[in-house]
Amino acid sequence: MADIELQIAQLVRQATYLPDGAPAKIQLLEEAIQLADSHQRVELQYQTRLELLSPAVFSGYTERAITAFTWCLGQIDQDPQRFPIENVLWNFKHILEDIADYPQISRQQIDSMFEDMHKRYHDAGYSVRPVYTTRAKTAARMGEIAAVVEYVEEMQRHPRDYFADCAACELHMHVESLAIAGRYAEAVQQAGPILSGRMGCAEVPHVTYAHLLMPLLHLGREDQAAEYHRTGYRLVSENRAFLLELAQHMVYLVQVGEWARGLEMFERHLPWAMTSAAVLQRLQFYLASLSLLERLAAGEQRLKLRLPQDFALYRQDGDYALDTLCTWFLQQCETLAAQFDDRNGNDYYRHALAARHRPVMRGGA
Amino acid sequence: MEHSFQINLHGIIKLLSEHLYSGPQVYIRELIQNAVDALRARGKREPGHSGNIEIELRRGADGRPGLMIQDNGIGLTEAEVHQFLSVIGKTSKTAELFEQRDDFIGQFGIGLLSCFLVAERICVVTRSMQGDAAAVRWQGLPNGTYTIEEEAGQMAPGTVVILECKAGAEAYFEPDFVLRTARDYAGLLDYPIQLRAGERYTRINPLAPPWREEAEQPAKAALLEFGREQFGTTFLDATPLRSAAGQVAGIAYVLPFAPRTVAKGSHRVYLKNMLLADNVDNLLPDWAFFVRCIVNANDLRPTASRESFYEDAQLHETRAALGVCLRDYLKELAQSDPKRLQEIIGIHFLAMKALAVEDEEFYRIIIDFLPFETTMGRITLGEYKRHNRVLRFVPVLDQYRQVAQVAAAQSMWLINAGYVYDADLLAMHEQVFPGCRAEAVDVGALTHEFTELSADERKAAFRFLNAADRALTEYSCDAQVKKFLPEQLPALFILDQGASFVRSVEQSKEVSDAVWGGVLERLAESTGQTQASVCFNYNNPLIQKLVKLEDEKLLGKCATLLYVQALLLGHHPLNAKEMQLLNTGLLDLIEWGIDTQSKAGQVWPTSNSKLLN
Repeated sequence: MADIELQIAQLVRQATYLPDGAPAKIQLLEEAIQLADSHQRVELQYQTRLELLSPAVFSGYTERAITAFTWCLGQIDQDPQRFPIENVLWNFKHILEDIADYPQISRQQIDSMFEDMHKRYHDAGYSVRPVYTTRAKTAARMGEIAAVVEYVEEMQRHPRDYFADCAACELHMHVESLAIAGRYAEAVQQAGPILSGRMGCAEVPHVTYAHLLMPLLHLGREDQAAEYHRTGYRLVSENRAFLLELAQHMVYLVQVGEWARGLEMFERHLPWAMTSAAVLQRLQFYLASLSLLERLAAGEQRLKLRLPQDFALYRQDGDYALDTLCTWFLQQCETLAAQFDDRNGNDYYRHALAARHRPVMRGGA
Repeated sequence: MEHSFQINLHGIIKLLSEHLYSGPQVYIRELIQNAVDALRARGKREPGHSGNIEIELRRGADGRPGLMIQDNGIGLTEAEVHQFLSVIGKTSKTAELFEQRDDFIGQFGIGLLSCFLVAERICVVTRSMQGDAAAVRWQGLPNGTYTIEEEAGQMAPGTVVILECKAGAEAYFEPDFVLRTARDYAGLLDYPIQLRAGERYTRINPLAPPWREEAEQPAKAALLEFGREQFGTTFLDATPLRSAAGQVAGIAYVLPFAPRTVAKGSHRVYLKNMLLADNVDNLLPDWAFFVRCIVNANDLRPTASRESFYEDAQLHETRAALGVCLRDYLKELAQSDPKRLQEIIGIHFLAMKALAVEDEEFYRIIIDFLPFETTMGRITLGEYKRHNRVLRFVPVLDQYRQVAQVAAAQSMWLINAGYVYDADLLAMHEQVFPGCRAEAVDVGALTHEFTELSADERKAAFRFLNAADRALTEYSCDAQVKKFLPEQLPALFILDQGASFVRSVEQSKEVSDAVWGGVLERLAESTGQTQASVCFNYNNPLIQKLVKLEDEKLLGKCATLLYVQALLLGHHPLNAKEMQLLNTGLLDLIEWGIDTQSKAGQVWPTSNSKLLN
């Protein structure tokens, strides 16, 4: 039966050649899983699922990663000798950092999963530093600003070991926590090594550029923001996993009045937002789109747009009434914001929705 | 008279070597660059001046290797020597340091600093061409001390820089190394550079790049020959590149093989005829990974290390202009040499698809030449359009595979749009060619393509269908009966994407604990209305026999076994319940078969039965 191992190896290799974000990459890996499953080869079932984890998360399909991950955890619990936990510890981070994007997962469930993560890291004898990095990321998504800063500080109290995020990612998290707390000048300053190109990885500076756009505008550094938008957009535009960052780029464009470019982004990435199971990223994108459309509505009544066929208000002739679009997006945002706020236990997103047209202070602190 | 540098030279050297340059070998580039700058400066004041550069390798009295580089350029006055020293003395941070590059004197100083990466002592003897300047000798040591004095003798205007190798850096003074490195960086420079080792002279830059002849288009054969020399590759084709933005001129070579798509294009780029880097990836658009380019830019801003370009508006404009060149080249091919274009597409279709997605004009020209996987084989879209008015495609790879065989048997033309770019290309079609649209086919709806049963047939199949439906409810599966090809297939199991996800969730739930199981449940819930369905084939002889059976229990059992068989044929893994079904169902059937036969007193008809009887 070496044949099936060869087939699986081929599928996995083909997948590695594809860039993150290409839907075929995930499909090839899922085919490998299916092949292993249909032959009931547990070792192969386990290995192929491990292969899926990172690519699925990095391509914006975290829900599939969670499914595969859970199966792996089950195997580990059943037979710890056969399946050492180290394989999944790394991926725990990726799985949980997007978990808050799924509104149907309750607060309690999120906390339970983090407790599980903490326990497994601790019991296996590793530093719990990554647990706090991931908690910080999740807290940011849930709008718990004070908690983000606390978790980042807690993270720094534990030693770095093999499972810690790379230095670039940790530094980015620090920068993000400062940005989210409104400490803009500090955020830009801390980001120095990333911005100069000295530190980087698969996602940094891709995400850093996006998160610093609004802080730079707040600081009146428009040229720098423009440069980071240009360079940063190229880095994230091919991958649906960066939907949140794309939304940030769109918000930037709205603020600086580059609405035509904003519309291009809207047309190009709306299909991703519509089909993303990571609903929070959809909300962020819709929120940015709403701001854009509302600004445009002040001057125009109708627009020609190329929108996906399964868009709720799809028109074959592409001729859309702006106020209809605005109403629809507003409704979507209100519903989703409420969903997340209720789950999170605060009013972060409702507040963000209400404040969407507040102009950014130029030259302020 | 001895002086000191006002700076932390050690710190700056560390800065250069660890954070800026890719390696100590850049000292050769810096020295040549300084010489070229001097020659250009002199050329401005003295048009017609014949500039040249000589590099000499020799050994000092103590046997230590040394390098000397000489140019007959503008030279420096004593005042200017003090200037470059003070310039270096003023700066302490990387950013400031490298702002000095824009200034001739400043650049000279920084270029010299890089020599301390390999040299124990640097000596500069220079005579300015301006007025009655005297020759000056400057000697600097890494400890921060230097001397500067007038040099006696009648030296012609120009500059000589002499380096004494530092311990451990001998490799950087080897003649082969210096030749290779100098050739790499300065091979296309427009001033003659000679390398002298003992009595042997070698010209570093014998070739002139083909784009230097501004007047006419160089012949394609000449371009390809140049490409062979530069890259050691026989390319498929070559086309000139030009951009007014950035003042860029060069050649794009079509690779004879498809590179790994994740590797971004890496191109050899020169700045003002000096090599910038061999792997510049931000000068051309991302989709240009099917070419390897060699270009010279005269007006783009390099980063501080002089090893890549600054991402500014100028670069963006240049990138766009070069993209237009490539696009126009492909357009031209489509008209003048479609066979060659098809050959190139055969290898590089991925890059072409990437470009077509971004550029509507290009799409219009190329789309009919692009290949797609279809149920009728791998064909160009043009070929597909010759047989179909609508582009019917399956957007998901897994789904396409499920139905490809059956669709082919039905002579249905379906396009596999599961690969990267394909779905986007098809979705764009109607915009660019109004009247010919693309339609996504949901495999769940595939059964609509199958032939409906006649009224009589439906009546005959009713009991079977009913029993099947009831038996399959617990597997969350619908039952249908239609007629389709191939006849040999008794049942087809069809799973849309949502149902597929739900199945994988169920599978994971079987092994997970309460916490994670709960999470999975929530994830699956929100997938919404999806249904798997099995479609029985009325064309199949076995099905035709089954519909005649009256025993409802038996009918149900057969339907579920056929369901399991359809799953297996589609390579869908069975969950625990389905496994159980397979096991008990098979055993039950065998038992039933034996019972029935023994009741009727019959022996199974076999080829041996005559013998037994």
